[in-house]
Amino acid sequence: MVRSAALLALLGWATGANAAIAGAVQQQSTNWTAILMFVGFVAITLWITGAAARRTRTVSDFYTGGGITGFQNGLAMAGDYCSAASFLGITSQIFNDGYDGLIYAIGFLVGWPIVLFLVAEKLRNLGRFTFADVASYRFLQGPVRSFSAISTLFVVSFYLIAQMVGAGQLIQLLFGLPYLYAIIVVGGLMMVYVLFGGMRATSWVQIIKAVMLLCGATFLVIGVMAHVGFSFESLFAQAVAVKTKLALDSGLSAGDAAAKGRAIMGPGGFIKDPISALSFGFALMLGTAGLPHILMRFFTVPDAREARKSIMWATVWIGYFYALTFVLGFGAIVMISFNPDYVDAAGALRGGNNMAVMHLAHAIGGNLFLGFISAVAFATILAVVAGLTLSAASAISHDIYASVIRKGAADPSKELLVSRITTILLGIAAIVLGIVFQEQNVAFMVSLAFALAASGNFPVLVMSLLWKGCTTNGAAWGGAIGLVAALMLTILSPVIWVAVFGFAQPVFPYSSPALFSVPAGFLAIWLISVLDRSPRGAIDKAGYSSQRLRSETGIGVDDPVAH
Amino acid sequence: MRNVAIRRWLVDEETMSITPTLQNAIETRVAADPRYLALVRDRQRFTWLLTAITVIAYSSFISLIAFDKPFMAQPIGDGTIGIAVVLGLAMLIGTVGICAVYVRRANGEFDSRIAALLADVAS
Repeated sequence: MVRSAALLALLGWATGANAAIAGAVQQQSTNWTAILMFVGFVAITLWITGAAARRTRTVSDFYTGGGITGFQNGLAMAGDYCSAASFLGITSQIFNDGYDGLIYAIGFLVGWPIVLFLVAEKLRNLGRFTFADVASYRFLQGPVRSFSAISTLFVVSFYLIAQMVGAGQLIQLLFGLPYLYAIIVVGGLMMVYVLFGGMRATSWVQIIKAVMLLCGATFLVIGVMAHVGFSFESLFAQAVAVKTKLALDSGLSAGDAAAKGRAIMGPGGFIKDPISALSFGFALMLGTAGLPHILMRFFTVPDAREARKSIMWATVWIGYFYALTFVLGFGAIVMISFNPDYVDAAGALRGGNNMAVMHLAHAIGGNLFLGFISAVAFATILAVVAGLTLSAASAISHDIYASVIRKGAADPSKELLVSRITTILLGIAAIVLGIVFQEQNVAFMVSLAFALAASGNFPVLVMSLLWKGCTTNGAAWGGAIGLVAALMLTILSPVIWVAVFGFAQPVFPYSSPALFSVPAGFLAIWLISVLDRSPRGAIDKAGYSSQRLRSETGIGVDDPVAH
Repeated sequence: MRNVAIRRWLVDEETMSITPTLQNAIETRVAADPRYLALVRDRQRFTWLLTAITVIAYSSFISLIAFDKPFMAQPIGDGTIGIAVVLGLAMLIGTVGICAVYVRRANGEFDSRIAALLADVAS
């Protein structure tokens, strides 16, 4: 139980929610430097939003932002993916336990090659605005688009609530502002970016934030390395010495203390149950390939070539970011462990469990730099929620309204209106839900979002792209079965069945459903398609060669710039 | 406007439309061309090979952590840095590396083979 909670907590950290923050949050004294820097960030992004709004006229502008380069898109993806919470959570995890933090960072990176190899270029060649364009390409539009839109709303909702709750708690920690204000500021700004600036403004918020985060973290790493004479061996040796001394001080014998000090250099207690670990890894790896707001970013670039470059750059920046967090966690062990300004008498971090990197920032760059890093953390949440909102708004306006209700003959101005109304409703819902779920442990919502994306969206996408025999019924119903399986297994797992409902034993013993629900999704699509004898099924199968030709060669691909 | 020089003359069918059969003469000719079939085969083989490498490498890494912690904790030489740290960083670098390998071949060899094929078929 402890183990699975820890796994989920880390999942939350690394994706944006912050489980540990959900515990003892102490509101800090109001941090005016951080607030001023954040206001500066908001001013710049609002100015960009204004510029973007003047150029956002068509539906395509709104959804795709009129085309950015692969390099810019890679930065935006990194901005979307490297959350504030992963910055705070993974570094604090390493500060406490050493190596374990890196294991999770790796899980989040390793999904990107799968996206690149299996879906990215085919997605770009076949689709225009949403991944449902691709999933429903050769199928009857109604059922498959309805499934994709519902699935998108599920994934986005869980992710969004987690982000909002995480935001409120982070703001209490970093800025010293009340929770309610933080939620309203995040929800309000998100609406402004998406309503007026659409994808163009959202992309630039993500790009600017990624650059700020990478620069800030790099500066911190240089500070750490200067402290240890630019030697990794010295950094790690000093960290082991610090942990050994801490263990000695706590009354362990010399031999035990030495072993405890050394333990930070290898994997510790987090992964004991291989099934949960693999299942968790599956969810991370395949979930990335099914997250609607990530997939939507492939339509902001002009062609498959730039889509591939996007992932290349995204992995470079995300990999670099995680390598930095590894050094920062060990740097924090060396630089703040014995400083009473940062750590109390019992050895716990002042201000909450996730403050290691914030204290490190203060130790290296003083109040000003602490303010900068706090502002970056807040900006990060804005970047992520704006991307999420945009993908949910396009699922409603493009997939449900324009494609299913109006059968592809929607008036573009009406479609744009629908997406803006959806954005406003989502913004309000996000604020309300953020308040309602304030006391909830949000980590399981993030893990659920990843598991749902891996079990519902990913199989539908892969089967419709790669398997000739897939039919409308198979895609729509099979995807729904994968989605429901992930949902049910999560409810029956220890996280909900025991922790929320209070039963003694979980029905499903593992913390992540993906190892079982992903195969269930694939199997359901296969079985329903094979048994499908409908006339429509024959049309679906016959459409494969044409779809494949386009997905492989890009013949007839729509230029997102010229509409 | 950019990046579509090869495709410009082919565009202009509705992306939304469902095409049960190959739509026009150019598509039919491309689909029948042995170079297209060879390209699809080569790309597929390459894609699945790299996917398998990624999945196996990651599963092995997680399994080592789950089953053999003492091995992972061994230091390399007389230093502090151990096998776990080296393997972990190798996973980070390898992930970026395998993406680079794919993008290099896809944006180079595969794209130029498609371009050559389309140019031929169009003329």
